[in-house]
Amino acid sequence: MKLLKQHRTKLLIFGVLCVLGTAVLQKAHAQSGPKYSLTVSPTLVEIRMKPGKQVIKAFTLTNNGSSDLEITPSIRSFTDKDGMPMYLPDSSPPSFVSLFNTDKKLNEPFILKQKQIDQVILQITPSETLQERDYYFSLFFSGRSAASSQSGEQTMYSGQAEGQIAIQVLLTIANTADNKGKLVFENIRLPKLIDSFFPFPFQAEARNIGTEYSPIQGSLTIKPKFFYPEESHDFLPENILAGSTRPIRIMQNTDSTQNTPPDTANSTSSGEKRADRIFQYKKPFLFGPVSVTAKIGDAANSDTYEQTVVAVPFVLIGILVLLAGIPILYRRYTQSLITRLPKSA
Amino acid sequence: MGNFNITSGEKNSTNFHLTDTAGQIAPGQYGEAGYIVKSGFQYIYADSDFTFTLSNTSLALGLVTPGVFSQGQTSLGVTTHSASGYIVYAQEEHPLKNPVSASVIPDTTCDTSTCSETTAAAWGTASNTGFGFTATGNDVLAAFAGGTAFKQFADASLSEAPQAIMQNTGTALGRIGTVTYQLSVDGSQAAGNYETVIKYIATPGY
Repeated sequence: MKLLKQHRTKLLIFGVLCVLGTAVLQKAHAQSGPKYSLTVSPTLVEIRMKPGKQVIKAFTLTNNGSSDLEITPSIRSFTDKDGMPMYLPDSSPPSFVSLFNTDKKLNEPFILKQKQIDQVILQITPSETLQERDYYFSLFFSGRSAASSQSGEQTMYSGQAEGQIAIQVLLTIANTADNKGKLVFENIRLPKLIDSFFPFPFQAEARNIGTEYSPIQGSLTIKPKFFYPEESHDFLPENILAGSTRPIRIMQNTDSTQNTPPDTANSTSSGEKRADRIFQYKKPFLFGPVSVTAKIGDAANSDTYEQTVVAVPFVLIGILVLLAGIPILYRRYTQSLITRLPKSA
Repeated sequence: MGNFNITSGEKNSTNFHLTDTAGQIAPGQYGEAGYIVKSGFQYIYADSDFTFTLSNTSLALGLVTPGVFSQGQTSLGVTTHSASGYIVYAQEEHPLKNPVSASVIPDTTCDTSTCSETTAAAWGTASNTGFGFTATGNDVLAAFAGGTAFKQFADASLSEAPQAIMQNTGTALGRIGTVTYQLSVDGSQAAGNYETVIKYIATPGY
């Protein structure tokens, strides 16, 4: 009986310690602040539709953070800046976009619990009289920690960090399936004369002078006159919005650029391919004319740029000139020394 | 190139669940269906995820001593397989403000009185008061000069456009940037709670 009483006392003390320990841990966790981690899929939606039709598209949200999130979906229009969306303060969203969910509305928050997966379904219903053109907008998911509250905090200076993910929707309203994007080259940088032992760069931008966004379709073809076969490299098919300009990125095998340090800020790795804004054509020794042809656009609307790059072994010529010149210079020097000697000598 | 499908598959509800297979219809069918939907970056990864993390969502700069810098930090994480990379913008709802008295701590203009939401500058003297930030880490813009140059947050209450702090033009896995907030006040600043909301907008390219 006495043993049981001792056991009970020990269990009670252990229990109190456990409760205290949990409370301390909870307080420490609360003090460290909730962590925001939101995943959204897909990352880009492209829609082409006729006026008067309806399209719905589901977006999946996952809360991987350590607290519940208060998510507010909203729509904002954007303009382009080098392939990235730029949000202007006065951008007004299109009025024909709403949510298909019965329990969610634009600009109204809902709770996404920790580890929960949910869907937000976008509904696009342009009227039959809507103007045929492109509409670029982002679906925003603004997430604040549902647990964080600023009331009762003892700090003098505080704030809240809010995470927002914006997914781009490129919408074309058109009665026909024909893409009206028209791409042309701009700001091409390609040397005319190069040294045979050095790589030469190619750099260009694409401008969409059409009325609809279009992927950058095209390739760069390089054909040396001597030693090497023709090579063709595709452009990375990124979207270029109507009236916008963006740098072209050219895909190439990593093997062909093994001597070029990877520019991580301007490259995309995918298996053995990478894409760079500055393409480097590198061979051990080039000689004579090298034909460079860049083509952009589709069969109906294309822009072609052609130029010949001439490779001359300037370094080799320089060394030969130097080697040939040294004996001549030496001879002249010795002759001048002889003429300077006193005649009496 | 990925495989595009006509919208199909499971659709159910308590509040709706759609399988994510809305896709492109065959050429020539546009006239009948009246729409084409594509999603993701099919030429690299189909329907890839975009993940954005914040290390903390409450920013307590604590009790501040006049003439002494007070700092806090938030780490921002981005993971995307998007071939066109991503960009992270930052913006404040308004300058640090006392919600009761409406007293405001202005955004910093740094040591040179030149920094703004678009221009960074050095800020090492605490007698130059205000609230600002700098950033370090992966893909952080060069303007922050490795955490030595500060900027104001773009002020949404003044309709200032959000400003970029991190950017990458290609696939970005586990990229981490750290924002350091810096605050300095002088003795004339009215006591009280000062608050704002800092919004970080992360978005994939297209």
